[in-house]
Amino acid sequence: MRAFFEFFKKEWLELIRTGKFLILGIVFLIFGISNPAIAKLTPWLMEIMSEDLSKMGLTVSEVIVNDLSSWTQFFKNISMIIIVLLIMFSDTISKEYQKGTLIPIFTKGISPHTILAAKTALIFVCWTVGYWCTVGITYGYNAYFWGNEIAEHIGFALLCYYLFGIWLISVLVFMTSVFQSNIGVLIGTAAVFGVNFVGTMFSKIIDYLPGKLTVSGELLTGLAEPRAYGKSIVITIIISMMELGIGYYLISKKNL
Amino acid sequence: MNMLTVNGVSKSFGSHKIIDNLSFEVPKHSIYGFIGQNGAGKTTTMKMILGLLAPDAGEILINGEKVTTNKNKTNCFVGYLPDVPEYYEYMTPKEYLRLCGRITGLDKKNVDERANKMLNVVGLSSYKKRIRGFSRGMKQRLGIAQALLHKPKLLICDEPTSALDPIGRKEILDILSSVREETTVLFSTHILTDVERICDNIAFIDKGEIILSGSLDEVKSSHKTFGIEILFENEKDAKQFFEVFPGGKWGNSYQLQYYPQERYKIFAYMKYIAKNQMQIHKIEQLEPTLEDLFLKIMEKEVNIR
Repeated sequence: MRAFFEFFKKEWLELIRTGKFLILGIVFLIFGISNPAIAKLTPWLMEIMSEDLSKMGLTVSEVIVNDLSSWTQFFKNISMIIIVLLIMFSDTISKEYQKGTLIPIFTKGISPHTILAAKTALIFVCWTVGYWCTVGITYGYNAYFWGNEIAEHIGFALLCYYLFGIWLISVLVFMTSVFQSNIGVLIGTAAVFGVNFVGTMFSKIIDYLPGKLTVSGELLTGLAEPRAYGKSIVITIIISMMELGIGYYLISKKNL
Repeated sequence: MNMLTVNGVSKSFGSHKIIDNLSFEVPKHSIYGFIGQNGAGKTTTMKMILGLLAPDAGEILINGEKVTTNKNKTNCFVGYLPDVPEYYEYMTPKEYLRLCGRITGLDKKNVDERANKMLNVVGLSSYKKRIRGFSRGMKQRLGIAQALLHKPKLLICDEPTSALDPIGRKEILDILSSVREETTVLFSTHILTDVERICDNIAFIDKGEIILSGSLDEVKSSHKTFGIEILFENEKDAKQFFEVFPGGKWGNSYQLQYYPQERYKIFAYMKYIAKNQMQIHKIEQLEPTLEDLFLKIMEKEVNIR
């Protein structure tokens, strides 16, 4: 356990000293602010553009915005954040293998599992803290502008997307134990993401895919009940655990 | 008592056999030179000793305990200096040593004490900046500090001097010599003068096999050749000498080298030179260097194969 905490501390130091913490902080902050800001500015933008649009024969009716618009914006943008996060951590293992920085560390008696566990923990921490901060910022602005009353099941929808993020990080961790290069890791993760995305287009299987957790529109408007997400939640948790488990097994087979 | 025993170890990568039934023993408190060309299998052997690679056959014992792959228990006895050590460049040397020490199980108080001591030993105690920007020599010295941090019983160094300038090399060799009392050193290299300077036992490895091993003196004396070199001042004397004593090899200008069967042939040469009052710069008995020996053995190996 001591080796885990020491290596986690090293990962944390790396995050701060290599500037990744700053970049992630800025990205999460900007997204958090931009969700309500875009919603708030939409009517004003439409008004400015209405003259041009009417010349083109389009009439713009009055746009009503509320917290629902802001949350809709949130769920659109959050995928960008998770992509940034995944790209940033895609080389977490591969760069150490390529440079050889793990060799002296391994010979000190730490196991590959401990290293992977510390790295995984850091990504989870970044996702958890960053995600809920962004949620907090969006929630705060929404409350200030409109109150958070119109969107329904917002807490549940947020938890679903959080779980989706955990699943994608598990895919990334699995890929880092399979591929030697970060390009391989990114392509592998993107491929799984892509297959899942295509799967969500088919109504017969969507309920069994992690991708279901990102479909929040119906939840927010009250057209769907949380119950409908049950299968997807269970399957996502099981797949994530399997991915992490297999990843941990594979990393111990990797030659330095 | 041996600190390290490698017993019938083999390793292949695909169909390519890198190590073939390798066996050798490293006695306690010795500096063991592990000599071979690039690609001879030195690094692979070391990685197996460290438990970073699993051997296909055979076993390795460190201090009487069997080496296993991954989370290797015997690593608490071992310090390792890779050929080109790489570190987390955003850390300071002290932070890095602290990380290494804590992982090996030193407590907080001890780790600071040891880190300071080792930084002093390798002459890096005044560097408070981050590792980024360290020269190769400095990285190599930090490598020794991390390898010796937990007072290992066996220090494994993979070509520690190959990439260094003469001053850097001397510093590293001096440090290695100085730790002999506390630890056993296994030291791979292809720089034979380094071996002659500090090693007491050696093994030549080629294509994954040990082709010669023993104490440095034993190895040198068992392959002693009685070379004699004479450097004449002029061509006339040199040619005349060559006519009387044929079989010599011509070197630069008026230099002749003989490898006679009898050890004391030099007296006959000296007698002839004195009698004929030949002008010479020098006459000397050639001591075989490890390099000559290595080249000779390699030549023999090539011929056998």
